[in-house]
Amino acid sequence: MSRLLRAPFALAVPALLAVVVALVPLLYLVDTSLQRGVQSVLDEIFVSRTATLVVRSLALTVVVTLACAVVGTINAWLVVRSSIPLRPLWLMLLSMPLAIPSYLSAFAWITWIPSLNGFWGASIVLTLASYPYVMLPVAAMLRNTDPQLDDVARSLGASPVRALMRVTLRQVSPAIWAGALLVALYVVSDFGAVATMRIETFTWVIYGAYRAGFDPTRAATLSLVLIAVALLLMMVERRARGRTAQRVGAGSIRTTVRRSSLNLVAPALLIAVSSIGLGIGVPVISAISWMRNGKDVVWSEVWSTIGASFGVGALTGVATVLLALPVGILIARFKGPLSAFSEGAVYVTHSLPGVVIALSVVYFGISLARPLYQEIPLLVFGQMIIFLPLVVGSVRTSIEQSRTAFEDVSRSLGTSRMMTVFRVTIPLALPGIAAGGALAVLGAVKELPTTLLLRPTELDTLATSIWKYSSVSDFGSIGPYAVALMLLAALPTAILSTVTVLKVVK
Amino acid sequence: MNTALELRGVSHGYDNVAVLNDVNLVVKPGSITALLGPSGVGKTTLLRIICGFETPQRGTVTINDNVVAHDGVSLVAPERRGVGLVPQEGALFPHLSVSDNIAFGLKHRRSVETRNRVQEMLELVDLAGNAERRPDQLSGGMQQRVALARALAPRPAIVLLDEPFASLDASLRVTVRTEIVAALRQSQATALWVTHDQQEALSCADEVAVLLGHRIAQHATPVDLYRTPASRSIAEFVGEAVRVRGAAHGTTATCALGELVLAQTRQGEVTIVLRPEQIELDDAPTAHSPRGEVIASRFYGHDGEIDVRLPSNEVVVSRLHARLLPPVGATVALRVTGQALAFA
Repeated sequence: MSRLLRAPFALAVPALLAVVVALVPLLYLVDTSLQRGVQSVLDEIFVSRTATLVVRSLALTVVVTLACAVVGTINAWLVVRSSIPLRPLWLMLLSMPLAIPSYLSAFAWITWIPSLNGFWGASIVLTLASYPYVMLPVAAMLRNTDPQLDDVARSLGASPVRALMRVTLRQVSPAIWAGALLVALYVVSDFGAVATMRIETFTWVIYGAYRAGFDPTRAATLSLVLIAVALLLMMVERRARGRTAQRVGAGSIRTTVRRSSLNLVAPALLIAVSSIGLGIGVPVISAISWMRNGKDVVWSEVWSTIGASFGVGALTGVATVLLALPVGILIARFKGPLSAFSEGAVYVTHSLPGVVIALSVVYFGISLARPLYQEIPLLVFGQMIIFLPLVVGSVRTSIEQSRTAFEDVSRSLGTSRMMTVFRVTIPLALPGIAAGGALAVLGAVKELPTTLLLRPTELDTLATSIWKYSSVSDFGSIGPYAVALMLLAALPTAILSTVTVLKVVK
Repeated sequence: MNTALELRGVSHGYDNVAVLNDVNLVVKPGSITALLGPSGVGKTTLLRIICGFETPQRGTVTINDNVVAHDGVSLVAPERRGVGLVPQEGALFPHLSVSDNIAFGLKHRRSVETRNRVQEMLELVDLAGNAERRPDQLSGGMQQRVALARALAPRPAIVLLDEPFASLDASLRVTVRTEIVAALRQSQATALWVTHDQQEALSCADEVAVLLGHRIAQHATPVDLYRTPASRSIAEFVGEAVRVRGAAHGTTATCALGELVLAQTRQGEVTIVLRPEQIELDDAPTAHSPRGEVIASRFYGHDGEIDVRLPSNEVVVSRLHARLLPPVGATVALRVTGQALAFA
């Protein structure tokens, strides 16, 4: 690479700082787990209760992932290829479960059907929460595949079902794979649903071991095992994403909608209606009924909690965007060893479950930043690490979509590399940067385990209040918090998904 | 100042594959020079070297008599070179209006001077009423004109145009080309115009530099380039070429088309190269006139071409007025006008 393509100093230094900052707490996690020596780490890993834990977590992951692959693909087909009316509305409603935190819907489910408590309840809740991870990429890919291939298959004598199986599904299988692996990654990291359903998977046990107080080594060691599982999934996901099938031949894609036979549409519609009804309907209706049955609601407390959630969310959003901006620009525009390193670091961070990051920030805080431990800066710091990959991804994608010719022209017109970043690169990427910021705010408002572990003791956010009241089944108080959180989370989700939806369904 | 741009011994490659090998080129101030070459020959690399986005591994780049790069070292950053760039498809900044695009390279962007310069540029490219429009509201041709105005606004030493019309459809291309050349002439700018379209190069430029085989194979005026190409490969790249075997005796040569006058003196066995328009139907044939059978005929509207198989089994192409096209299978007598090229 040419010397001239190297990143300007003013960009490289903050970017490098950002990724190092994101990785440092992990060192403290390793350090804590090694406190009693390597032998005790190995002892902790190779005992039967750890094996049970691994098996249970993997079983949950497999069940949810398979269910999501089926539900997500069917829903994607329905909104992109079938001839049902109001398809954009369908897609938007079908993406809404992304806005509902898993601990909230889990609590709604067990108050409705208490016997669901456990493995199957967690499976249902997690499936309903994460099928959009399959649906959205599959819908996008379906939009880009040629529906005429379907017509060709039909004209060659295939039945509608056979054409769907042999042609359409084959074409989108890379998107199904990639989406399914995202779901798997989400399931191993989820804390809210398993904790509410009281099922002992990695995240819940790690949290418990830490909260029990006497065994930081066990919590840290199990975190390392969980990191290994997550990294493995992440690597497989990368692989799967690499193999995307390309359309053969040029020519614009004609309309993708096909008049589809009723015996295909009817079952798909049934699944879509259930996804929406169970995924959004159950938590929303529960929250409203809690609200109506609410007694002794201290409204001043509700408002101050909303304020606290917003405050922490906004701080996290701003901090994460500032940190992510140099990293995203570096990765997208200045390829080289430094940008490869940053990319790798962000990639590792992306696979880390929230509980693990929170825990490593705790150990980091205890050992190095004691005055900040259980103060707002450390809470924002922990959340920033969690959402950094998301925002970097958003910034990077929007920069990569714009042509490098813009930057070349700017430089030839007498603007330095750094000024070009400010005058051209950032303005062009502004929508992506804003979207990334919104994602971080939304995530921070919903985030439960990090807030539980890192918040100042007197600070309550919507997430922790819901957690507090749900763990004692206080239906009288939980309503306003649940409604507020859903409204807060739904708004940015609605905006973000409208943008995506309009791209997918015209 | 005698040169706006000078490249001396410029060589560059990627992963040990040479892209440019000992490129020498001089662009005179106020001239339009076309850099003509087939796709993948390194035209864009050369352009990026001049702009400063790549540093040549060997050789010297001089702009306005200042050395800006030498043997793998960039001495002047791209933003200080005074090189205006008009990339493919224009690359107008989508977040800025037309006038902000044009003002991008000017200092003191809010000053009266800037406003006047922007106005002047808008008039130059005949877009005076469009200052506040957004790039996505302009047609492809208008975008190219704004891109040129933006490049010219800071008064660069040289403007580089990188295949500026590749993305326009054929009917629009000629119109926009004419407008761009007029604007360049009016502003007396120096331009290096990269293209793979030989018609574009021949019709627009004062001089044409042909980039073939990783080096400048010939640098001449359009007329000289077409009439006396330096090699057979240039002759075949610039314009259509008809080849026949022949034997040269100084200023003449004999071949299946009879005895021809050569542009250069040659001896011995040669390949003779003619342009299709040099081969005409002989309306007063003699017994010695070369004859052949028409094996294909193509009608283009304004003119047409026929393929004629000669008794030597060689096939020659003749370009004719459309109304003169003979039917396939006819036997025709041919005659050659002008001088022929001969290459060993």
